Amino acid sequence: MSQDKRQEESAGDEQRLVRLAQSGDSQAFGRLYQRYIDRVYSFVLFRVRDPQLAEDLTQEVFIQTLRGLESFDWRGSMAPWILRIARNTVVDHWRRSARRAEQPWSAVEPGDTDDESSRIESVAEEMERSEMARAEMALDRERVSLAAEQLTELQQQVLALRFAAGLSIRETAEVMSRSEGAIKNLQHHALRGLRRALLQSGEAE
Amino acid sequence: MSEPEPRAEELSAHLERVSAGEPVDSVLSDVTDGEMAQLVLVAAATQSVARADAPPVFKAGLQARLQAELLSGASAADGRGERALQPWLARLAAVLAALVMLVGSAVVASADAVHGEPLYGLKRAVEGARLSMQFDLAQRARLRLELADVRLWEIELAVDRGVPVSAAVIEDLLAGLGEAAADAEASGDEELVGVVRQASESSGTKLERIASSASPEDGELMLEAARYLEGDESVDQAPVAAPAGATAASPAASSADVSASPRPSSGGAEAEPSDDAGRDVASSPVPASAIPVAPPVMATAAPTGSDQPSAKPTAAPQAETEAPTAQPPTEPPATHVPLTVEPPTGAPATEAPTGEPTSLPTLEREDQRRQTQTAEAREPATATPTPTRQRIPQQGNHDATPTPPTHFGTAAPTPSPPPPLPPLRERRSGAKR
Repeated sequence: MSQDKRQEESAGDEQRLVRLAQSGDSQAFGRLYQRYIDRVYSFVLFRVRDPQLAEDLTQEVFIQTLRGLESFDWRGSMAPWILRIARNTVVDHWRRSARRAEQPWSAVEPGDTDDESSRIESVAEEMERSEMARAEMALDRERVSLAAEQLTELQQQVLALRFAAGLSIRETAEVMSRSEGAIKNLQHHALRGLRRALLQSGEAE
Repeated sequence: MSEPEPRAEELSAHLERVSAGEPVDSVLSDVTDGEMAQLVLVAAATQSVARADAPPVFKAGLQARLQAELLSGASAADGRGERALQPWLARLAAVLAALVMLVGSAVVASADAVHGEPLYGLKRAVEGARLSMQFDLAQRARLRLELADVRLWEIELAVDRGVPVSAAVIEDLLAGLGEAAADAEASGDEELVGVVRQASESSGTKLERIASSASPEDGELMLEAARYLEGDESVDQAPVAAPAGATAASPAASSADVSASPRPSSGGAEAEPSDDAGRDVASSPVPASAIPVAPPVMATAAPTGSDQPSAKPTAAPQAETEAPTAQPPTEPPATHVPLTVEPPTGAPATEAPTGEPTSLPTLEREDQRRQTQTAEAREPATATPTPTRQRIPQQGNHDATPTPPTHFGTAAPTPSPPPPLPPLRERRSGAKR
């Protein structure tokens, strides 16, 4: 209850800041910026894995945010809007640079039905919530980044929005223009894929 | 694909609890199979490694740029007047932002620069940028204290090196401390007001100590500034004259605590737009730690008054030792006041006799001399728009307390009639920046 209340207050506060910023109040915009800069940067960095590029793209995101502020319609939070700009900025960057031309941009998800998957799953079943499991999952940024590269674009987007930018399922759904159920499925597949990739990398070591 | 699969739904529910702040262990205790547990662990670990803070310098620079852009757009669109910053301010912010972004390494290198050195202007510009990014009043007051401490260190270093102390630096010290007091009062944090007051007095004491090693001319100016900081009623105007020529000697006393003066005077040295501007162009987070401002050589001294987190005073090189009390030149050198770090309330009053007759004439003379030394006193990047600075902070502090030695009197922010502006500031306004 108190958390809901806090969220409500926070949303109300944010709405007020958005209104002020839209009317040209730079201080209000500064506060909004402070709220989102790290989340946007985290999201972008998770996607591009290059700090310098992440700065460039983050800057681009906020310039677009500033320029689009006037036309922004408040819908309960600014997060989905600004993260959507961030997501599109990353996508545009890749399109421009053709670095990921081979990435599937559609929503087609693999079924996780290959043999390897079931083999690993059987291994996973044996792993209790034990110290062993924790050790196995002792992750670092590099390892996670490498593992995430094996995921589909949409899976990576979900992970970045949920865990780097800290969006809720609902907000993530809004950013990706999908239903919440679809996002839950994507999240599930993404984490399974990540776990699998991590286990593989662990076995390889 | 719109309906969540059962396990996807279950996983989502677990993660929701983690997002709500429940410990992962607690969530895992309700998980019944190993795979699901691993997925929760992977999610938690991913979150912990995926969250990253943008580099502070980048953050500050981008914010300044964005706000400058917003301001320039807004001021063109409507004449909201008060809230909108002057176009030059927007440009200044943009320039500062560019500085911050483009010369990161130089910024770091400039931290040790002192007045007259090539990187000093950059150092001051960065300070101004930090201030302009800080719109939390209490935080800004602490930052101002930190910067005032840097000024003290610069003064002491000049004395140590035997070079003339720039009057501009002393003036900036007083202005910065005054603005710290103003910000503290405006923040409504009475404890902070007290901290600033103590820091100001303590700063006066340190200045006295440094003065004892300085050339007579510099020393007189410093003593008057010190008396002002310590609340000597006879010094009703911020001294800030132009010391200039000085051939200081000996290892000065220690310096620096942080300090704050009651004098809110305008036109602080920080390349900061203006107080109003600072508030507008700014925003809080400014990582006080982002850019090292305090010279590394300095040892950290105990904060004067009390708790003073960010205003951590950096003490000067050979700190706490002898420190001949800033006796007026005429006094016998015998009196030594043990270097104390805490704010002098009673002691300084005796050390700095009020109404020291020697200072005023000297200040006048120095002031005139200063007119000819504008080049020396001018600081490149601090081309602060003094004239447009709008807020003259709580000068009330000054007169608010009829009883010395504290200008601030009680912690209670009682606004009072603004004291006369420092004469030198006025007289030198054309000469300085």
